[in-house]
Amino acid sequence: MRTGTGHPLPPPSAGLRLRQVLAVARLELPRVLLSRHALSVTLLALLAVLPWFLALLFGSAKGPGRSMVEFAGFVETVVVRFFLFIACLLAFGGLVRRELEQRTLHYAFLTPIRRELYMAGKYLASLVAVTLVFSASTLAALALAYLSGDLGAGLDYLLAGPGPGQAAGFLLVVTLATATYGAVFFALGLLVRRPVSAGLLLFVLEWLRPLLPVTLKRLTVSWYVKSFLPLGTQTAPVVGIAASPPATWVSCLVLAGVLAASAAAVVFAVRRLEPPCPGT
Amino acid sequence: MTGSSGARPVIVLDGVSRFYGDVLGISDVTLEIGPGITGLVGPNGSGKTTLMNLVTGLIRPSDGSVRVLGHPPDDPELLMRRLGYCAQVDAFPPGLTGIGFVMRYLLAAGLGRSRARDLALRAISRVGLAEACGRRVAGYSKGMRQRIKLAQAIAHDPDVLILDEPLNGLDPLARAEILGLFRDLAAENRTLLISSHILHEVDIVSDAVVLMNDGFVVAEGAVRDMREELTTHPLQVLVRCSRAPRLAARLLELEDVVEVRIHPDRAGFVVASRDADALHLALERIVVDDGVEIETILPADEDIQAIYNYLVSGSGEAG
Repeated sequence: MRTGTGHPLPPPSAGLRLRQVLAVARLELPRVLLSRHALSVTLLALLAVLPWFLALLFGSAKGPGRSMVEFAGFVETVVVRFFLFIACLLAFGGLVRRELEQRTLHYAFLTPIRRELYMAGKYLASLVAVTLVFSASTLAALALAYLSGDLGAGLDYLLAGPGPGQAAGFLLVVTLATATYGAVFFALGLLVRRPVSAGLLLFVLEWLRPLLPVTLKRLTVSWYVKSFLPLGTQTAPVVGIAASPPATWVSCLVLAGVLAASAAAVVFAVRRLEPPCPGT
Repeated sequence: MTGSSGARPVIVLDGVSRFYGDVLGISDVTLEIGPGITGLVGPNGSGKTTLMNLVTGLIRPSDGSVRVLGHPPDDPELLMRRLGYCAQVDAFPPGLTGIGFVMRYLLAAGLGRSRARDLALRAISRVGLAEACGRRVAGYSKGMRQRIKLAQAIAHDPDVLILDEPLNGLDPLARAEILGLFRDLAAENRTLLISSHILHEVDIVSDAVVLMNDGFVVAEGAVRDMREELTTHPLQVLVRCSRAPRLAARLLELEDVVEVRIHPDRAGFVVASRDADALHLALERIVVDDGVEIETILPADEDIQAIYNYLVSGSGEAG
C-alpha cells in the first residue's frame, strides 16, 4: 500500500485553510458576477440610483446639507431595506441550492477542503460582488445627491466638506447590511427548501419596522445597521412608533452575533448535507 | 478481506446500513477491501453506488461505521487528499473547459495555479484527452465526459480510487485503454474499487470482487475462490479434444458429473461436475488410458456473470 507521503497536496494548516477560502472565493467571483442573478442584482442597484438621477434632471434644488439628511433616510429605507434586501436574497439564498440543482456540489465535497471553508469562500465571493455593485450605486447616488442642488456648494461639500467621511459611512452601512443579510439568507438557503418564502417573511418584518414596538424592531437587521448611518434620519416618522436607534457598540455586538449564528447554522447544515447522486 | 491478501485493509465497513426513509440502500454490510483492484458488481439498484457514496462520505450511514485509510469519511480535509471518486453523476459546473474543470478543484484544495495546471495536464494525458482539454466540457461526448471525470478523480494522485461505472459511454477501444489505465494505477500500489453492472469488464481487471444484490453483499473474495465455495453448483469445464464423444461418455460414468453437452462440431464438449478435483483427476486418467489428444481445457463458468447468476438466483450456496 502507498504510504501517503509525497502527495502533491499540502498537509492541513491554518495557512492552507485561508488559501483554500480565498481560492474558492476567486473561483466563485467570476461565476457570481456573470450569473443570471448578477443581472438582477445590478438592476436593483441601478434602480437605487434612479430617484437621484431624476432629481438631478428635474432640479429639486435643496442644497447638499438637506439633501444628505434625505439621502441617509433613502439609504436606510430604500437601499438597505428594499433593493439590497432583495439583492441579497437573490444572491445568497440560492448559492448552494443552485449547485445542488446542477448536481455538481459533490465535486466540492470530494475536494480536500472542509465543507464549511468551501461555503465560506462562496459567501465571500457573493459578499464582494454584491458589496461592489451596491457600493458603486450608492456612491453614484451620493454624487447625484450632492450635485442635485447648487453645483458649486455641492462640489465644496463633496471635496472640502464632510462628503468623503459621509461616503465612507454609507459604504460601511452597505457593507454591513450585505454581510448580515447575506449570512442570514445563505444559512436560510441551506436550512429551508424555499429560502424566498422565509425571506419574504423577513421582508415584511423589515418593512413594518417603523410601525412595530421597540421589542420587535430589535428583530430586524436594519434597526442595527441604522446606527452606522453617518447622518441621522428623520426622527419623527409620519406614522409609526418613534425610537432612537441602539448605540453603535450594541449594534456591533448584535450584528456580530447574527453573523456568528448564521455561520453556526451553515456549519451545522453543510456537515449534514448529502448532495444528490444516482443510487441515493 | 478482498484485494491483495496479507495487506492491511484500506476500506473497512463495519455493520453498515443505509436507509432512504423506508427504502433500503444497503443492509448490514461488513467488508474489508485491500490494495489492488476490487470489482463491485450487481444489477442497478443493488446498492453499489450507495456503498461508494458511503465510502466517500457523500452520504452518512444509518448504522455502522466506515473508515478509509483509517480516517472517517466525514473528514474531507484528511481523507480526500488520498481519495479520488469518479461518481456516476454526469453533470459539470457550467462554462468550464476540460482543464478548467480539473484545475478548479485542485485550486480549491489550495494548490498554486502552475502546480494545479501541471497536475491537471498530467491526469488529462493519462486518460487520453490532452488534445480536447481546452474545449468546453459541455461540448464533450459521453465518453469524453467520462474521461475528464476520471482525470479529475486521479489528478491529485490519490492512494484510493473509487470509480462508479467508469466505463459507461466508452467505446470498446476506449474501454480497453481505460482498463489498461486501471491496471497501471493498481500496479502503482493503489487501491481501486470499481463498480459495474457489465460483469465481464470487472472480471478481467479485478483481483477480487464484491457481489451485491438488493442491498446485501452476496459474496466477496477472489473470483476463483468464490467459485470453489459454490460447492453445490456444478463446475463447468470446456474440453476441446480428439474423440470428444468417447471422452464425454467416459466422464458421464463419474458419480459427480451431472451433465455433458457435446459441441456441434463434435470436437469438444462442456462437462458439469460437482467435484472439480475428481473431474480433473478423471480427465487425466482417461486421456492417458484412451490416448485422447487434448487441445484445451478451460473453466466455462469461472467468470463473474456465472457466479453472480448462481448466487442471486439462489441456486448456489456459498460455502
